[in-house]
Amino acid sequence: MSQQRRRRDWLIMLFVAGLLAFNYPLLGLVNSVALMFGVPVLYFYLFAIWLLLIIGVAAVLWFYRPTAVDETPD
Amino acid sequence: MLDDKLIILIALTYIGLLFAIAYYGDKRADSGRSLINKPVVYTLSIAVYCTAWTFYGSVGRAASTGVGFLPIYLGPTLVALLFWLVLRRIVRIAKTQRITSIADLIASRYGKSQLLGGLVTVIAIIGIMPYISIQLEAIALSFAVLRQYPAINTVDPAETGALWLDTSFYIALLLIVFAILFGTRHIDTTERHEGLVAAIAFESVVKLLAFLAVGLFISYSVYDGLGDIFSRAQELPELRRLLDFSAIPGGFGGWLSLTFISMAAFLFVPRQFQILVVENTDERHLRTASWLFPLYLLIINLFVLPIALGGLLAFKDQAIDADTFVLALPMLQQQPALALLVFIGGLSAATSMVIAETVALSTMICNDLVMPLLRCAAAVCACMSGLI
Repeated sequence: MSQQRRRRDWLIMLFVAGLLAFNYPLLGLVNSVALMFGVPVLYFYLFAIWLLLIIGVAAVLWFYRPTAVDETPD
Repeated sequence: MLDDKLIILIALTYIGLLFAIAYYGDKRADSGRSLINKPVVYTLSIAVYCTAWTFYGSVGRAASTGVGFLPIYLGPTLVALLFWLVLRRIVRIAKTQRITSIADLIASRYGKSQLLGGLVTVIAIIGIMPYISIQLEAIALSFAVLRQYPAINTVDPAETGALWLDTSFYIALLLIVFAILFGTRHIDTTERHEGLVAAIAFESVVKLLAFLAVGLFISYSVYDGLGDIFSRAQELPELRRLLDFSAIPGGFGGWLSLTFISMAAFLFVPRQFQILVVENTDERHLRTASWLFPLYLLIINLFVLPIALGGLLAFKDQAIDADTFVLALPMLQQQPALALLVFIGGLSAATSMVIAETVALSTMICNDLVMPLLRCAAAVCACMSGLI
């Protein structure tokens, strides 16, 4: 049960982190036309966060993968 | 010039292939060896979210708003993080309560209100019809642009002339046949369509490959990599404003509201509900979809801004509609084969949306409008005959 709860907490945390990272004021910090590794900072930031969220959710769902008893809704 | 007959032949061959895949999918389902009972296929079918609007329109939007096209994909990405918590619950509710559409779900939350179900259906029809017509228009427009090769001109979609000269009319006829054969022919209380889902998943692969091919070609063959495109854009003031937030309508507020609208649209547009919830064969597939679907969105969006900037740089002195850059750029580079691939990619994006949306809407119309009205009419008739 605690595994289920931990998985739920991590997923909610990732969602909130994504919502914050994809919005003002954090986006305001990278609102620049400067280039970073050849791409605009804003563009780089958005895709980097996007990729991190994907890796994050894959890791959480792999680490806390459902077991046979894990049938009840979270 | 690209021969009209060649383009039409390739388009018809592609649609024929869809029929074959859907037929094979249905056959496999009948023999109990489901083709779609795999998390990857489920994830690819969800990518029906990416329509012709994504394929052609994202570049058009990026050409005027910079990264302003991204909230449409960031919203669903955020929703996907919660698939395991939110969507799994909806899937379970839908399975236990035999819910087959978004109208059913909303009605069931309010004591199976028929009036509410009917109202949701009417709103969905009014909202979705123009959306479907945009897809058909995109097919007609891309055909009109492609057939002019090697000339590149902006085409007015209203100038297609008589109905029998309109390509989208014939495509619509073919899609009607497809939707009847693989969508509505079976009477099944679960409203599952295995062959149709298999075809949609295949279309998701085609549109992704086509878009990646054109993105890689423009970025690394026409220009010298992403750095080259961005540094050239940075030097021009009218393109420089596309690299930060200054070109986004509504600024940060507009960005946030578009993110939320996209989150809701992704879950509740009829075709999304159909594919996400009704066509889900196993809730464990949501685990893979949680990360694989955002990854699909990320990959299909990677080259949108580079293509838009590449197009604006290449067509600086020409009035070319930015919505057609994906097609016009390979044409400009004398790459008819790539342009044809792009056309097929756009066709796949549009047809998958039209098929899924019409099947989802037809289920809603049948269950939430026609059946209650028939029942009502039958009750009135019985009452009348009793009086007589």
